[in-house]
Amino acid sequence: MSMSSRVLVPAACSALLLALALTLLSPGTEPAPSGHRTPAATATATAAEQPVPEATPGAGLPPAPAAAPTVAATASSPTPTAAATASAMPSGAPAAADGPAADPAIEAAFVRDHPGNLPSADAAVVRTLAQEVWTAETTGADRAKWPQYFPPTPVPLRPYTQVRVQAVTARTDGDRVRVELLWAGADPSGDFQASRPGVLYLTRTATGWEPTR
Amino acid sequence: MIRIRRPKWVRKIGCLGVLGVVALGAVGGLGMLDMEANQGSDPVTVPVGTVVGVPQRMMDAYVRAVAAMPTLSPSCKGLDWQLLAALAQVESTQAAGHTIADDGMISPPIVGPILDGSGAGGNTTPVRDTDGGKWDGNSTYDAAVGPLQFLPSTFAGYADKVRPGGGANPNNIDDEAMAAALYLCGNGRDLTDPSQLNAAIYQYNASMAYVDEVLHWRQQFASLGTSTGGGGPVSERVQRVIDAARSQTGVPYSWGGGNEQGKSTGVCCSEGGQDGRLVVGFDCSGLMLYSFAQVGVHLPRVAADQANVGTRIPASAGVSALQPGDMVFFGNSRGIYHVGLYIGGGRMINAPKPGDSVKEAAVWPYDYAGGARVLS
Repeated sequence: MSMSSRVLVPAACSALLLALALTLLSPGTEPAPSGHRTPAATATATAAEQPVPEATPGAGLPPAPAAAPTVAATASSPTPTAAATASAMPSGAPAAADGPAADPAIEAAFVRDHPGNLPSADAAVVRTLAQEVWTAETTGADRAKWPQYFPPTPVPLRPYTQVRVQAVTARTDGDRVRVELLWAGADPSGDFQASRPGVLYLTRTATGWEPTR
Repeated sequence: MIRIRRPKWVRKIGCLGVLGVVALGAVGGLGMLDMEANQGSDPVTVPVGTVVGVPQRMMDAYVRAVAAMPTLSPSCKGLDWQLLAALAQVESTQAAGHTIADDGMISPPIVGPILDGSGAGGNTTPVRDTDGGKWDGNSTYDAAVGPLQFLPSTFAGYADKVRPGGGANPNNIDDEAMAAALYLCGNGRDLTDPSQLNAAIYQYNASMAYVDEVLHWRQQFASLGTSTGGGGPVSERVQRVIDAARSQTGVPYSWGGGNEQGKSTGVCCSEGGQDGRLVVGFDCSGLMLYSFAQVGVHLPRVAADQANVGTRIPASAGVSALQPGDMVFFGNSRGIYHVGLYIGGGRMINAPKPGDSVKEAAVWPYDYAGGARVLS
């Protein structure tokens, strides 16, 4: 092997590897995290209701419905690359229980699905109060702030732990406000789950807002 | 549905023996029978067979407790095993990690955090000792005990009724389930009335969030309880897929990690901050890729696309429509965000979230989005 080939062959291999790497990293081909989803792939709106033959070993991909999208075909927003620093999901969706930093994305999606209708000033107050009341509901903390809502009871409380409210939205409901929220926490058995649904009601008073049942 | 009236000789064998016999004969593995409580006359509909990921011995205890209520609390209406199972799910995950002996004894005993008010387990209100440390090992403060987490003082109030001859033990699932049934029934509650049902659960734990969660699980068990798809034999290929997923138990979650060859580093970065490039493991759909590849099935990379493969099982059909080897999805109106491998009995193997690892778990009670079947 000549000197030039000793140089060129590795260089060519490197170029091929680089090209392969770039191909793998290009949008639409990189393995995206699991939570990637497209509007067409909702829980109830999938087109894949038709039975298909079972795939056989070596036969490759099971026959999917014609409408079934592929990852490459359905990436509707930039796919993450290894150089990215955040927002790995093409759809911006966080994974299940992906930690507090994912809560803004969860809340944005939740509010899109459950839009509120309060003036922004009221919405901000209601949001803060709802977080406090729900924390009291789940952990027992500061229940004394709302003695009518949390009347003294001999019933023991075994509180949830690691509680945080992930998303809040509020709408008027008659003469009060219905607050829907998502929260995360560990139940008395220690089982942690996120995106738990919760509902509470708030009523405007002469001095502000109060939780009501 | 099978309806039988037990002859006396059968009663002497006991309901559990009957349950086993009927279970063997039931088409598809799960049937129902109407059974008389030992001393009662009202028929009680109870499930038989392997059900919903609840250990069989615990299910037996729930069924016995419900069947005994017409005698022990005649005015009580509407108590069902699903409610007892839901409480045990939230309180101890069905005594997960503990052994249940044939006589109902659970070992090691289940003892909650010592309620000394220090904040451990979130408790800030001390509960002074009432049992001399007999059940919770602490003679200064109490702790909740047993799979349904009774305070010793509460359990003591039911001990004589649960086991008239003495010797009731909160870490015996028969005793604990019976005490819980009596506690829920109170002075003859009508648990078909939502307000009375809520009150019954609330007295267990003073949180409406807790009440909601128990009711979620009760509904989940009610759906699963009629399942015929969880207990039967599975095909060799389905078993290989399940075995492949199970073999990865304990492997870390990695954002974007996993492929058909196995665990791998993932990509940067989850919105919660996990950099999958630094973790060798699986994300939820990566685990499916690997597991199904072992039988030559090549899935799309992400959960939302995996939901479009094979026969879709709509969420409206309930978890009971799933069969072992199905993929089980979770999502909301925005779409699918999680996938696991259904293994029957209301259980799945999944890579749940960043910071966690591949594990078996109950199918989540929230955001169930149906399944997909690629193997039959």
